[in-house]
Order: sequence, then structure tokens, then C-alpha cells
Amino acid sequence: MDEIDKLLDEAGARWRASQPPPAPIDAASLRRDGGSRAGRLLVSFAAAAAGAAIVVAAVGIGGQLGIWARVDEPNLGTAPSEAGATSQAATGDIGCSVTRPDPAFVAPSPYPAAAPPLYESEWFGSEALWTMLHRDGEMWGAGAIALGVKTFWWSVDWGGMRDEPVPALTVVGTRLDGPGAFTAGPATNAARDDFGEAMLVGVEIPSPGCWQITASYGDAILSYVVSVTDD
Amino acid sequence: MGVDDASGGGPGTPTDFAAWVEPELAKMSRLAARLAPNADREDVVQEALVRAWRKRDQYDQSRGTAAAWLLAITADQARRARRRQRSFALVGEMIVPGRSSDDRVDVEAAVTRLPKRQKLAVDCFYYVGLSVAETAAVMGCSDGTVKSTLSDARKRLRLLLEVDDG
Repeated sequence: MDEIDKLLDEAGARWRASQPPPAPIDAASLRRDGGSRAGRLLVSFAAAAAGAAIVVAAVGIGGQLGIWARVDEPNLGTAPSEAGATSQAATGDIGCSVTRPDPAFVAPSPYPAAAPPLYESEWFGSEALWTMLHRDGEMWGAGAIALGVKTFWWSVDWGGMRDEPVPALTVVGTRLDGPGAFTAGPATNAARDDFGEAMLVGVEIPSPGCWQITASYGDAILSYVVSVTDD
Repeated sequence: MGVDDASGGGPGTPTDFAAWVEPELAKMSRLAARLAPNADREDVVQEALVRAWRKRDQYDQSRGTAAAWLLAITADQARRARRRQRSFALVGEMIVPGRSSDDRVDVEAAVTRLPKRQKLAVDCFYYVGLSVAETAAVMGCSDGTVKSTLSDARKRLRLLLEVDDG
């Protein structure tokens, strides 16, 4: 055994010794068709093909899939509110009042005052915390369940990706038309030429239905309702 | 019951299947951690298990051990997870704190500078602790190719680490 072989053996043994034991197998999960315990974030339908498509996945899957929706009013403040416009979404047997960004939030400089046109969306929220919602409300398809969706968030209190690369942003989901909840995260950061830097959280929806997505950053809480179908 | 006890095709119930793969879980978990370091290893393993469960009828013992089959599936899932991580990078840049420097990091750092196939062989054989045959299954090549790739990797690491073998 030469010195390199020995070094690698020792390094490998040290690394193996530092690894946690594997999680026990959840045999019941094998029966479910869904697969992953959580994993599968991102790259929704249009997937890795283009950054723009990925962003669209976060903000306008409904439009991509030709699903319609309508809305209510912005939800913002120190607790999830009922702000924003709502409209009944076509979700099979279930009606879902998804949130429309009406009125749209006008972001302060240096952020673009309105959401970039590419996304067919508007800013929604306040200076303390805002996101981007499709003008007709968010309608997410099967990709949100199988692959997840990127959600983007902004705040004047966020120092940017250099100062706070892992934003203290939490995103949770509560199903409104049945049992179900999730906690997403951790948050990371993103940057694009058109909207600048943003806080990013990958969200995996456990099941189709009417979901309230709620983000918290500092004292600010912002929520909206999205309809998720398995189409 | 280890996976290699099976005579062909996977067990028919989830409980039997879980018992069948359990002896290989540690290797699968380490392989996931090594090949997709920024992903959740448990997610990768779980996805691999679900995929193996769905494809259990395709397992053919004459083409290799069940352990090698499971590890190959895990490696594939890890590659998918890595691609998903890259998709994050398409729109974002994670700021990663710098690492402290010591001798252990030197070896690790040198391994990261190996060509892709050489790093994969080193990861599987030395770090995950796979046999040559299992490494070959993950790499999709012969045992001989694994051995020669490991030999090439050691030569390159010698240069990178400037080790005096005497």
C-alpha cells in the first residue's frame, strides 16, 4: 500500500465514522405512488431548460398550464390577512378562492416598481415583505407536487445575498379544503437581471387542493392562496 | 436477510422489501451524501428506494448483486438531486462559508480536483467503502476499469499532494 492509498484509506475511514446512521425505511411510503419523502424541489415543468422558465414556474404555473383562476385581496401584516382580491378557481370538485395581486404593490427603489412583464405577474405585499403573484392568481399543476415550485420574496429589510445569504425567511403551507400542512425551507437566495436579488424558498405541495402559503420575515407576515391541481 | 440472498426479482411486499434492502442502507446513505453533498441524503435514499420498489421485478441476479443494483439506483438518484441543486444555482448563488484548513481538508480538497470519473471512483471505493464490483456498478463499467481509474487517481493525487513516498 503506498502513501496515497493509505492517506485515502484513512480519510475515507474518518469520513465514514463521521456520518450519521441512515434513517430507517418507511415501508408505508413505498406503497404511495408519490415517492420522495420530501426532495424533488424545483425545476418544475419547464425545468432546467431556462432560468426564465424556472422563475415562471414559481410565479405562473397556472398560466403555463392554461388553468384559470380569479382572486381577492393582499394578505399582509403581522398576521395572515385577507387582503388582495380573490376568485374561484377551477379545481375540480373544490372551489378555491385564490389570491390575486389587486391592488398591486409598487416596490421601492432600487427594485423595479412593478414585477417584470415576462412573468405576467404583479408585486403583492408591502415593503416589509412582498412576492410576485400571477395576475389571475396562482394556479399550480402537478409539477408543484412532483417537483416543487420556487417562490421568490423581497423585503426592504433584507440586506441582500452577500449580507444574508440564508435569509431568516420561513414559508409554511396550510391546506384550506382538507387536512394538510408543510414547512418549506431553508431559504436561499437568487438573482436575475430583471428583478435583481431575491429570497428564494422551494415549496413542495404534498397534495392537490386549496393551499394558503404564508411567509414570515422579521415581523412581517404575508400570505396568499393558491390552487393546486394534479393535472 | 441481505439483498444478496434474493434469488431474483425483489420481495413482493413493502415490509419484505424494506428488510431486503436494510443491510445496504448505510452504503446507500453514504453514497448519496458523497455524490450529492448539497442534497438531503435521506431524500435521495428514499427516492432510490421508491424507484427500486417500483422496478423490483426488473432486478436480475444474473446481472449482478442486489446491493450493486440498489447502489446504482442510488447513484442515479443522487445525480438527479445534484442537477436539481444546479438548477438553484442557475438563478441564485449560495454564499458558502470558507473551510478551515488542515491536513484532512488537503486530501479532501485534492480529491475535488480530480477528473470526474476519478473522483467518482475514489468517492465510491475509499469514502463510501464500496467494493470494486459495487463501484463498477455505480460507474457503469468493468471491475478492471475501476482498478485502472483508481490507479490513475492515486497518481494524480500524488502530484496534487506532493507526497514523498519514502
